[in-house]
Amino acid sequence: MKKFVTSVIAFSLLLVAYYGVNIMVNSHLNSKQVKVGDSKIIAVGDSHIMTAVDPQFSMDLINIAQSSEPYLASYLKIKKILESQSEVETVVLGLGYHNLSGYYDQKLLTNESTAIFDNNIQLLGTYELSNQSYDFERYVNSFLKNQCIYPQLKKRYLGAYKATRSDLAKADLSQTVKKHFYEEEQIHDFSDTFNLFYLGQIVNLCSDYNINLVLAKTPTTKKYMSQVPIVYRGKLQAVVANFKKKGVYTFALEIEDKEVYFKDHSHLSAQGAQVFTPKLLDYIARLK
Amino acid sequence: MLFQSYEFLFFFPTVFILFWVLNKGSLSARNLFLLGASYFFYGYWDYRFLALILASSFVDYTVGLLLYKSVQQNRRKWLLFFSIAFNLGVLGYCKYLNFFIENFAGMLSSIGIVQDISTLSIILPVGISFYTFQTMSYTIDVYRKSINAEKNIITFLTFVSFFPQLVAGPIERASNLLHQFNRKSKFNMDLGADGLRQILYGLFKKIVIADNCAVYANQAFADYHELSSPYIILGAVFFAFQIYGDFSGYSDIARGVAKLLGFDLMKNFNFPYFSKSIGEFWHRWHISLSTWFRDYVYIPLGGSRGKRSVTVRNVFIIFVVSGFWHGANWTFIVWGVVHALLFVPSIFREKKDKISPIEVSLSSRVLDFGKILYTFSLVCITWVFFRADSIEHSLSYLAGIFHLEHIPYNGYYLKFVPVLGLFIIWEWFNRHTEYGFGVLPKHKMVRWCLYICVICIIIYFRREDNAFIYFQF
Repeated sequence: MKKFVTSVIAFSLLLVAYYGVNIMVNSHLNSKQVKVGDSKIIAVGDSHIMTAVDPQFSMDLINIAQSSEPYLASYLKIKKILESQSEVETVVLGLGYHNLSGYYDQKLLTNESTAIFDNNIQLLGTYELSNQSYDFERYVNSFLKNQCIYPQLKKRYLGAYKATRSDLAKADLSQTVKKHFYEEEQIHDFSDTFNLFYLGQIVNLCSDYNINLVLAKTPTTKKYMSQVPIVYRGKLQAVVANFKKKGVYTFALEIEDKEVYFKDHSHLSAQGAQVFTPKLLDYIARLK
Repeated sequence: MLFQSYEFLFFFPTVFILFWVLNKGSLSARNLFLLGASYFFYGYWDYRFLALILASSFVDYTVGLLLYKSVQQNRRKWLLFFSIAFNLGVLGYCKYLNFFIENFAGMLSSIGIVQDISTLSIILPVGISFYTFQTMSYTIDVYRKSINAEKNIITFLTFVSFFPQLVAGPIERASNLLHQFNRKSKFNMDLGADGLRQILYGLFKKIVIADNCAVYANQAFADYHELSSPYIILGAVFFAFQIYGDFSGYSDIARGVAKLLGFDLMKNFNFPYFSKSIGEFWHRWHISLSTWFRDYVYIPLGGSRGKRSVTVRNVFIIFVVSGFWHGANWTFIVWGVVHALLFVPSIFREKKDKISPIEVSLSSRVLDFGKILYTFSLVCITWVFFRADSIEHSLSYLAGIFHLEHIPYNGYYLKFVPVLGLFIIWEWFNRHTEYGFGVLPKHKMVRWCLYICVICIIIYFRREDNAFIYFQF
């Protein structure tokens, strides 16, 4: 028995050592990854910002948006960045009608969101973890998977601008609208657990660090706009009005409904980004 | 409590240490501890259903003792009848009552008597089919005088509720397991290491193979009308490996855990998908259940001793009952019938379908591979009935195999096909080992590195929705 227990302990130590090394390497890589150099403007958000803000227009601008990114992840990224450096003066955060939808909460809370969750959960501090109704087992699974197996060389937490071609002709508008705003034929409830809560947290965070926060609504096609449920339009107005009182800036741009400007009905193409980004930068320049 | 849960990761080492400490002292204290641990393991899911295990155990313990003392054959028969009626009654109420109500209502409505009979909301206690069959086998064996009745109630209760195999088998026989509670366990270093390896391999089969195959299989069975033929076939193959990985994985973990406590549970799977006939498949698949039906249903009915027509009848009876054992749905019964139909030809053949080694010559090998592939295809077809929600669903799914129109499919889970392929190759080269993890490097450090690799693969492929399929039976 003694020999067996010694062997099991020795094997466990080997396993722990292997995992320990990976955790240390990954922690180091992660801390390096959530850094944005000398950039003064950071664009954060989901795929809508990811495809709309082209950093080639300014040396001071960096786009760190990621596809399907919830505000929880944006909050944690911004927090890490602001904690680690003081160059940032302005945060541009995407805010569209779809960001208000409970669809985003569902993505975080249900299994379908595993990839998004996995990418972001490691940024959670113990405060966020204990303060929210996260499944601890899920956290551990994700931690073991992402931090213990091998070094994660890919930048997982910082996104980047993605230039896309126009594919509007093939875009399925009804599918997009359904996904964003409907659940089993009923209009989706607004986010009540995470997304709107963390939007508020981002506002407070930027205020604490005395950083300009610009809530940017990226252009969509008129067809898309016509299908956004009225309650969502009212909600966005109310949310924006509320944040404006707290000193938050808002930027919205409608551009010509040309096919070349749109990847699909709610995302800009690279050509659309070339129209949108300079206008956004002009707006930010006027804030100073 | 699930074997692959974090709770079990804390539960089992605690049990392991305390068990071996207590094993040095009194046997009763050790068994009492094991009983408490087993009830905790089961009650962690829902403590209320412990009452059912206790009731079933007490009835069979008492009947066992009475049978042992009784000499009057008539009285013994009545005692046996009471025990079987009680066990099947509880099982029937919990598992089959709604099925009978629904079918009775359906029958009445089909002859024009419209009946709106509501069903009852009954929760199926986990593992009821397993421990019920285990206690029944004890009573029958005592009745047959092939074993003595157990006098110590703690020992008997521990035998019924022994946690490694309580909720999904192997369905143990008293003749194999009960006496192991009456002797002190002896720890064996090699056996302990083998137990850990078997647990690791079981976890691999469950978490990597079964849980990931389940994703595509579920998708295929839900959206089969949107898939073309190759993907529908693949869906059935994925389900075949889902159920194999799930159930044999559970059995491996159960046996490995038991080994670490010094107990020997019966082998439940023997590489069933390498069978060369349906008969051989049933010698390799869920061995504890098929031998249970053989010993307690098939042989008492006359087995294969009488006319061939009687043998055919007996074969149909055990397959139908076996199908029904799996669940209260016509799909399981049809699954049993189809297996019976595939099994019956072997009755008329001279050479019986038993486990035989792969032939050595090239032509025989090719022929054997053909047989394996053919048998696996048949088994996959029968799994469609097992997996489908209804007979209509299964028939539509099978009809989809002939849906030759090409529909592009870019499902992410097709990427799992190579992993499955490697698993099949691994199993093939380990098919002569006890459970598939036998051909290992000799050097200790290389072996340990291999184990770390397997643990990493398990962590990497781990999914969240991961209960064992056989818990529902």
